[in-house]
Amino acid sequence: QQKDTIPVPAQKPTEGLNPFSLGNPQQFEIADIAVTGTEFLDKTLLLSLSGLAVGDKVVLPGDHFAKAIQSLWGQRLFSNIAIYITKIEGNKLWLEIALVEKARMSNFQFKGVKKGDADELTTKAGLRKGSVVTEALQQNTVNVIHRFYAEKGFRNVTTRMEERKDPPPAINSATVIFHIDKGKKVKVNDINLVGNYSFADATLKKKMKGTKETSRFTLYPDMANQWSDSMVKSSNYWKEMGFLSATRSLAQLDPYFRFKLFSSAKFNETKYSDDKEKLIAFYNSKGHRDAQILRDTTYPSLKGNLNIEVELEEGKKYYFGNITWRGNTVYSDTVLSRGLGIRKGDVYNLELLGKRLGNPPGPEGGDIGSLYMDDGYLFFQADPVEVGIREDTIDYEIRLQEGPQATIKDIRIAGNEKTNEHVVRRELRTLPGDKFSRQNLIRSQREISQLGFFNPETIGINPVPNMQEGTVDIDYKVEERANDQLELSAGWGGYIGLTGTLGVTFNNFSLRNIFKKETWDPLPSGDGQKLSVRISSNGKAYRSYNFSFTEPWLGGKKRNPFSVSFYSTYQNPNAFAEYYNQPVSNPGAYFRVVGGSVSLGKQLKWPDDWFSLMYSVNYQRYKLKDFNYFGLEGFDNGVSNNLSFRLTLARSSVDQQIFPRSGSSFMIFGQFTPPYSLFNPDKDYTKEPIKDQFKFIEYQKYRMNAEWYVPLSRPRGADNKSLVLKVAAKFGYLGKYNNRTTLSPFGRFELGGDGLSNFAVYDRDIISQRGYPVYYTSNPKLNPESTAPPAGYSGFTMFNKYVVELRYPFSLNPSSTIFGLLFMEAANGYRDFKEYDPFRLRRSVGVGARFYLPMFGLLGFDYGIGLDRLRPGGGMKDAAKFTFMLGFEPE
Amino acid sequence: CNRELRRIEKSNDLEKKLAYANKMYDKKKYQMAQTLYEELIPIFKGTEKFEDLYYKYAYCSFYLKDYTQATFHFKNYLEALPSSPRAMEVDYQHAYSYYKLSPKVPLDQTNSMKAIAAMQTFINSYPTSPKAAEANVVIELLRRKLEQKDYNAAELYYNLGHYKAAGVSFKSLMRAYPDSEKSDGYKFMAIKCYYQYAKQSIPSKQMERYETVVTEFLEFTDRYPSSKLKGDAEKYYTLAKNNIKTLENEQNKEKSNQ
Repeated sequence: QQKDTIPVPAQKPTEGLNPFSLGNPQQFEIADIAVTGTEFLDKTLLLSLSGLAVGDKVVLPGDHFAKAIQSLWGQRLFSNIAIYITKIEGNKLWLEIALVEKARMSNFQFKGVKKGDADELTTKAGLRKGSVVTEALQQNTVNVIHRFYAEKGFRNVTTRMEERKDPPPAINSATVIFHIDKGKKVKVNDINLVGNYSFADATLKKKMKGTKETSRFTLYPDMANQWSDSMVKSSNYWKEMGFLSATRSLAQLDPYFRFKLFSSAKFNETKYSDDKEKLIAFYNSKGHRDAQILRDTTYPSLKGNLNIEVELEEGKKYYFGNITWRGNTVYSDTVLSRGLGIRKGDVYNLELLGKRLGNPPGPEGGDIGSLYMDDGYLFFQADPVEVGIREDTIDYEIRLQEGPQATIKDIRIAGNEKTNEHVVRRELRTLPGDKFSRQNLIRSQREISQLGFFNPETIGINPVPNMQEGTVDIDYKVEERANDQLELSAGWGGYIGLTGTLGVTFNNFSLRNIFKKETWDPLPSGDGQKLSVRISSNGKAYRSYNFSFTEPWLGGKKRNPFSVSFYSTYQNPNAFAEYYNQPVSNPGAYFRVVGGSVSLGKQLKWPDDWFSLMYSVNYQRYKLKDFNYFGLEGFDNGVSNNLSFRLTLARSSVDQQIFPRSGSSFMIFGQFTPPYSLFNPDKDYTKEPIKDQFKFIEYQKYRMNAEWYVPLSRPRGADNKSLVLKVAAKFGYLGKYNNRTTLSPFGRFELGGDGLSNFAVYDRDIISQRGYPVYYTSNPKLNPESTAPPAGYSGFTMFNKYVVELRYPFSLNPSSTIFGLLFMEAANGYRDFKEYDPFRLRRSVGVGARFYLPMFGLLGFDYGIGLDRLRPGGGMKDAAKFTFMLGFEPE
Repeated sequence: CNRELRRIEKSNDLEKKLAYANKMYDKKKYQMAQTLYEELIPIFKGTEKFEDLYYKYAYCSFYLKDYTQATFHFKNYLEALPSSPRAMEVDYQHAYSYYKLSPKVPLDQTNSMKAIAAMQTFINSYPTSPKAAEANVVIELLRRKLEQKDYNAAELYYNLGHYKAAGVSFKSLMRAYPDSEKSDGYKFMAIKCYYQYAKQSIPSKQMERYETVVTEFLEFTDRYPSSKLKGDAEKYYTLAKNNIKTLENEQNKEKSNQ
């Protein structure tokens, strides 16, 4: 850019050659180049950087020198670069590259601000050590600082730059210090709206999401600057006593008292201009399509805060007239009009019209665009055109361009740096050869995010259409995220010695690569398998080992989840006594459980593809030594074998995992041990000693769970929040094959409490009930807290549980889903058929909340009141219970 | 040795530092050399020593197997010093680092594509270079990798029972790698897929889809007259033909019944 301003050299070019005559470009040869103005830099190197060399032929005027200047400028070493022509002789040129070297920034500091702010400023200003200290750098940094603090509400920032020369041996470098004085924080005092007649000030202020007034409590309001044309005069307020409402009273109180707890009153320029647009958008959505802001201003209030003044013009209210369609060959006018859902006489709203037409395409579908897009019409376009305005009625003609149907050709997946491609590809609903469908695209995105291996926020789907061929390629872009879990805890204490847990879960494991050394980084991964190992120990008292492995697609052809697990636990009842040298009646006693299970699932195609079937085999071996763990007479020594087969049929059409809005889920299983007693039809097992009876455990068990979700309100807001009703029912039954056997304590049901299996070492189903402690009888009135089970109780054999919940989401953001709930529950357990009474239930009501955070998973708490625990005279507190949950929702 | 490094790091004698860094580089202690070079780069920028320094600095990343950094530094070198006598070597190293970044087949192959592009640029810039032949080999290797990946995708669709998708994928694979030695195999797989697809279709669509099998087979014999897979392909052709005949007979019967 310097070239244009170069003065014509003093020597007149001889022989008529003029490098600056635009109409007549000439070729020159460079005879010599001088580099001037440098003090520290190597001249020959600079020459080579410039790309100019003696003997080069250059055409002038041309862009040859501009390139040279650019490449020198790119070195960030100079504050000024100029190329002069010093002499011209014939077609020979003598050049001078005049450079101004600037001190280089060896270091920089921000003074007067917090360290965190300084770090943020460093990245925002893009400061780099070694860059040249120029005016531009200074100005740019000061601008960045001012903008940064203005966003935080500091609007009176002063900045001063100091350049400190570094002492030798440093060459030509300086430390740059920015002295910053933040000044006082400025808040928004009043927003005064003028010219709004159709909507109250409060309604409009609510729409200004980024600009809020501050809280206020004063007896001496700044009445001079507090005015609004919509405010009722104090005298009128009292006269209109009959119409006093909360809103009007608040408006009246506003100059004295205003309470804003959850909003920040910072003033942000960009947010403010967004808010002005939002005001207009709000008016537009209510039919005022001519609404505009006539003028607006900001000025300081008496106390140094900020007042905002906005003058509006509302304009007339409009309505939709006739809407006609043009260019539709696939769907008839009637279908399209019904799909559009806007009728003649509706309040005019251009945004709504656009949304119903599907521009821009919304994720939920159901608009005209998705009607076409789900059927391959990728190139579909709808263009609404105003064809007439009659008074306050606007007629529209919607011009459609349907275009050809596009067929999917290639599906490409990128960004899977760890996960093997087939793990992603097999989940996709977009298949080559199918018609393009936006709905399938959205479904695929959901499936990818449900894998859990990728960041759900950054899944990119990009259809690349090819108009000539009528095909479309789809590019999926994923970003790996770490989702392996490590659980580690350790402690030292009292009689138990070292206690601790070490657990690792690898969610993206690859078993087939386990013997390939080069894939260990740190473990073979990428096949979407899950491996988890957990060791937990309470020193001498308790030890437990767990191992499990899951392959979600056994065989790789169908979604057939297969899993294997092993576990072992050991419990010593005398650890405490032994440590304190207390007398022990049964030295060397223990209870040991070793078990394993294998299961295989299968997705069914009939009756529909939501059904799945699962087979599993479970085996546990219990060994008791001198330990009456179950409180059963004569059962303190011996071995029990619990082998069972389970067949589960499940159907789930729940729309999403974390906060389901619609759909149902249903599960039924039967679990059977081999009928040992049938092999020996004459033997009466009940006559045998108890430990021989339980050697081979025998039972049949049935369970049923059903859940329904029904949305009760229309979806609202950007993420479609709605009130949801959940209804659930659960049943369980455990029985014998015949009367010659006794039911063992294994496999039974435990009811009440928070549903956590605290140190549960044997097979039982834990059914929680909020508002009650763990209970042992079917009598709803008997609910003793934290007492040992009574004699003869070893778990229920039947139970019922009914739940009704009303849920409302506070946040559906994927990074933190939060919802609150109100519940009613009724449940009870029964020891046998004689006790069974489906209407004899413990009832409870309460409130709760659930938080899903990506790192922790589920966090939740409930506050339940056991209605059957209420006693005359006793307060509600005696009947209430807090329950927490972590990781999973208990049954 | 480490003590010496610390002493050198603290000293202010820049020339000595550079000499020591070069010594470490020659001794293949790249980690140490890299640390020192990093510090020296802004200081020596714009001097005649910079070229050698940056050249070695870029190689440090390469030898330390940090190929992502290496590609970045080699590229920077080329941009800053395009007329350097070592430009050709650095250009090749730049492409070769991308090749090193190319992961195993089932993972994202973006770097393979970058490597192919960079190697091609290299060949175009230095067609007579002794490395050009090597570059061609690398490109061939990477293309095989991409081909294998696309094949795996098509095969996956076949295994999952998405026969139409598999057929389309095999055909597009054949089109993308026309010079592949397995090209006839892809066409054969496409025939197989289309046959399976027709077989599993509802009767009203079967006729049309069996006819696709026939067309595909005729194309196959046209294009690969001497393919080993011709016999196998012919089996599907015959099956398709027979099925078409049966369907025609049924249709005729229905017509005569009416």
